[in-house]
Amino acid sequence: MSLNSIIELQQLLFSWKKDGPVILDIQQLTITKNERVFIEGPSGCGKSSLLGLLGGITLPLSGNIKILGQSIQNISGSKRDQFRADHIGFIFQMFNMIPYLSMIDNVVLPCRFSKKRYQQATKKFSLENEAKRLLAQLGLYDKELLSMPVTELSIGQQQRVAAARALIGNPEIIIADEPTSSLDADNRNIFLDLLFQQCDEENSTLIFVSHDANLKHHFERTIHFSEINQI
Amino acid sequence: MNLTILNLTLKSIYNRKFTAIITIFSIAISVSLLLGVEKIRTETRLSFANTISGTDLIVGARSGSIQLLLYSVFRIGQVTNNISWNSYQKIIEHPKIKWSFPISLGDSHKGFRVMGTTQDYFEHYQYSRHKTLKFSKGNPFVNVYDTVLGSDVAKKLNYKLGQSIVIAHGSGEVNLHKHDDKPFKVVGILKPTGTPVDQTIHISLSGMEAIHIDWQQGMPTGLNISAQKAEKMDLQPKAITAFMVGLTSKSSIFQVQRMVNVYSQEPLLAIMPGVALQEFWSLMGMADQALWIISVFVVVTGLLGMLTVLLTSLNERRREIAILRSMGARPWQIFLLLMSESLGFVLLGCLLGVILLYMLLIIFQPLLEHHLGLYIGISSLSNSEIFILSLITGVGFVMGIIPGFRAYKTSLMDGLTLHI
Repeated sequence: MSLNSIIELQQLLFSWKKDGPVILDIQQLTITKNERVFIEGPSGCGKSSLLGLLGGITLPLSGNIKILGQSIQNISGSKRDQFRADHIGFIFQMFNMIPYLSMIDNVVLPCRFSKKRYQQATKKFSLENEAKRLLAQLGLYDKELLSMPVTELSIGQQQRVAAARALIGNPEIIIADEPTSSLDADNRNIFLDLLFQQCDEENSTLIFVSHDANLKHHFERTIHFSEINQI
Repeated sequence: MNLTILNLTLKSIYNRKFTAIITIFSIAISVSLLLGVEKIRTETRLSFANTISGTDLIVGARSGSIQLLLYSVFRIGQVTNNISWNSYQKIIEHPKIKWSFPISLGDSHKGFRVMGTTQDYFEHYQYSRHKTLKFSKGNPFVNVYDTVLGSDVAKKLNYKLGQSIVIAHGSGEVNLHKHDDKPFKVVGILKPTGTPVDQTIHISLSGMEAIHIDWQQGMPTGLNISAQKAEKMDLQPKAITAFMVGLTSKSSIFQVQRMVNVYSQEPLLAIMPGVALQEFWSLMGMADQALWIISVFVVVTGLLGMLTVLLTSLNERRREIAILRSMGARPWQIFLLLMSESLGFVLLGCLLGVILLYMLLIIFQPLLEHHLGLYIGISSLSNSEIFILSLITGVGFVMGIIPGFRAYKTSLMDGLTLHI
């Protein structure tokens, strides 16, 4: 095991039901610190199941999932929830916003569930200003935008707010699940550039999952899902 | 962290304010209906029970005991038959009878009932646990054309001592025949009692006789006897509506009651006010129980409406739940999110319902008092009302478990999968 490994999977077996069909069978997968990993595979191949395991929402049938040195299959459900809150930021495909919260409230929400991320987010600025700083970095610095209901933002803007939310409080791992598949090519490139830039600045490890093989040239490492999953 | 959930709940309710307001209103209306029925139930009982006290028997022409009670004490309904002055005089000779006063009904003044009686009334009539009538101004009547007003009459019609009033024949608001040749002078105004006495205009029996001296069978005869002339004539009444009796000892109630009921000269009926009131309530019991059950169902409907709204919203909120989970929200926090929403609806509904109830009471209290003689006291919430409110909140709480638990299950099943 490498010293720098952030995620390490070994002999992992997963199925939704105890005696149901096995969906994931991963012998070995290691992701190291500050890597930008592209996991490529068609939809329905079990990528979402893998993300559920990495987030500690679901548990494997057998095997070991080590994240930041912690074997998360061995800790209780609420500890796993806390672990996820502290160390992982998620970005989903679309409709990432809590519709009844303002843009700022959406961005700062992870800090309400994690003391650690709250403390890290408020090291330099107030929580709100940190949110504004991140939003500005991601190209959302317009005062008018800030006061708009999040449901009225364009999808590209919503995805950037989601990125700011995943990044706030500097979690070690950012997991992005098809975040660009509802964006057009221009918006997609802008989004990826901004995301990479922020991950570099915050020293976050990025795990990017998509079915779109065209994206892989943006990443330093590509994992073909069919190669790691032996099902 | 739980503050976060509360904050999310409030913002989510605010976001759906239109649905929320309708849901809260439907709960509020059902709550105020139920509390209103309860209030009227207990308050009418209290008010009726407080109207007469210390009177052992009421004697009137033979009819139903409830009917006699209603018209003699509560001025509700019409008098069907009178009893003769002679019978009255004979019966009160009974040695066990300590005091009595007659009442004579039938006329009115601007919608208020006029009651003929004697000075004994002011001495012996008792209400609400042995309270006697007190004057706020003036004295009992002495002369034929003197009158004593109940407190509401004086207040509503703004009458002062010394004012002269004209009594109309019959008991409606609009009267064709007025005794305008024989006006009465206000000599006394009673203190408020919270009973139909407040709505009554009292005159002496001789006054009652005087204004009808030139009448026959409810119509003027055209004789036109002047007020002064009438005063000098024989004003001994020939009949009265009923009379109330106090006995020397409670133990002789049945003896006297029996004596009246078997009185051979005239068909009479003696009732014990408490017993007749009980009979009245057992008769009314069915009606107010039905009303009560209906109100309970209305509340249940209100709560079911809330449940529908919450369960419908749950489908729209599956994404939201998954997003919250991805940020580390615990499944029980998701449960709490839905739970606090239903609890919020129920609590706000109850609060608004109580406010609505008091608003309605303030509006309708004077109307009920004036038209039905029902005095509904506006007081703080009684224990039974607080019990009803906590029961509703409890039921709402239990109902809130359903969407809460479904959200909890969803959050565990869906994981990070976002359903669109």
